[in-house]
Amino acid sequence: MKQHAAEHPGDHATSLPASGDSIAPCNILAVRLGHSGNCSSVGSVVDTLFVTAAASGAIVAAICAAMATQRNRIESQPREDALCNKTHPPQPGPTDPSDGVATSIDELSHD
Amino acid sequence: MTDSGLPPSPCSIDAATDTSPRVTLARLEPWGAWVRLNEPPALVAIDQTGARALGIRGEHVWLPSTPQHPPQHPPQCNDSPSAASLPIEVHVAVTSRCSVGCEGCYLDATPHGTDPPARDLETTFDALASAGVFTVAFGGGEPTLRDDLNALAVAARARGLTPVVTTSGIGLNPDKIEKLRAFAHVNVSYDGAGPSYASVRGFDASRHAEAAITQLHNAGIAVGVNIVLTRDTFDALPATVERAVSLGATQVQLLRYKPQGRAKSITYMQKRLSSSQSSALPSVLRRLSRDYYPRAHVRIDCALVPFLSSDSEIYRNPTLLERWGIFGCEAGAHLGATRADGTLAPCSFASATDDAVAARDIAMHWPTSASIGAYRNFAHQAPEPCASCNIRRICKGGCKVVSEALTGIIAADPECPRVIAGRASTLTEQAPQP
Repeated sequence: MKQHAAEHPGDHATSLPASGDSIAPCNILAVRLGHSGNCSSVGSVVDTLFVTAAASGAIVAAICAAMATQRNRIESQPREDALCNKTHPPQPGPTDPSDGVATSIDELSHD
Repeated sequence: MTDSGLPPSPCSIDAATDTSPRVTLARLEPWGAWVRLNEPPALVAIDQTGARALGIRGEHVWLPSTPQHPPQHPPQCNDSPSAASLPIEVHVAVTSRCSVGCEGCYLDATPHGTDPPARDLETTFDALASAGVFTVAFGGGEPTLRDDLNALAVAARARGLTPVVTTSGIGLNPDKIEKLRAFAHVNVSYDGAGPSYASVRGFDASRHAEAAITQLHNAGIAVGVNIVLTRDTFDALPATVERAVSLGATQVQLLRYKPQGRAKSITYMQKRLSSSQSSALPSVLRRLSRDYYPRAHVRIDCALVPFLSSDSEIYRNPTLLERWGIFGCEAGAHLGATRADGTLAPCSFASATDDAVAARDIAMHWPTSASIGAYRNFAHQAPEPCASCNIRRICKGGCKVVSEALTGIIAADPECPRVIAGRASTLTEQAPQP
């Protein structure tokens, strides 16, 4: 196998994000690439297990870059129609009454 | 259900402020969040720090870092049964009709099957979207038999779901192909040319499948192939992949032959991969990856993951599987299915059970259904040789459909090379000494 531990997703860097609008490779726990068109069992890309370190690094860099181009804003929204939230009481913590339900991401800027 | 007692929280998209097709959908999890990217197409699990960096607030769901939940714990490797996250992918049987009659059809689809009403499917999509599901894979019988297929795909997209579909490709025409444009990916069942195709399905329609791949590619629709691996198709796999890629397939999905539906018969034992073929799979994957990356992506299904245990390099380095998001048996966990009658299943191969519940109630019943939990929980109490297996956290004990069919219970996958070796070792120890 051509890969080493340092070439796994998330293992490329140790620095934390410096600002609120970027994400570092070390924050990536797992990457599931592509859409599977299969309807009978869940599929996973495996060629990334065998590609060169440079290729796997490029994939992770592309993932981080895609995330870095998005400035995200989170808005809490009451989602009383969500059955899952009706059946489980909110956890102690945030005082915002809409926390603990659903949130929405609005992309505010695009390159 | 998360360890914190809350279900994963889906993050929906406010289309009013976002007209870009490059939208992101995220779902909070105890360890951070799943984030969907459209370009490059990917589902990415990020930790809590990364989620904060994207502006995602999840303190009400996020668990503090503990030895059981380290900050860099890949999401598919949660060993706690209570961490029964709702699915990220659901396979939706949009019909049980099919006029083709493949010998190995796992759903036993026939021309006399039924189509769930569109309004019922839309109700299901509503529930799946609310539960934080990312992908809905249309299947069942033959989805393209439905005249409203395009409308259903559009309805799924309108709810923030990514629709994909599998078709035999038989009977596709320009009008039907146009109706597939709303899908993020279309996979055509293609087990190889002539004899290979016929060996799986009982008839040779490979030319129809090849024509479908070509037409979809020419129409600019992302197309891949599903290749069922059997004793007869395995050796022809390199040629099959070459043919599919040359026709325009950008994805090669390899599927294990499973004893369900019409494939649950005595012929299964003759059709399944031989032990030597199962053990050779990793080296075949290496070769295919070398030859086709990045022109076409090679994928394996969840049921093939046990066969990776025969590869010493992969076996020694399970982190590689974890970080590249390889899913073993995620039935009842990250994977779910809905049948044509609208009930939930741990996966599309799973047999119907008495406690089946409606898909519209997924958020309420997914964590508590006994039949769904049985699939999900096996890996947490797996006996040897799974218990000491390096890749158990990914493999999850292998395919439960295979073990149920061959042993009558959910057990360690009896076709896993490691399980076979363990069985042989036990027999040797028990053999009377001369």
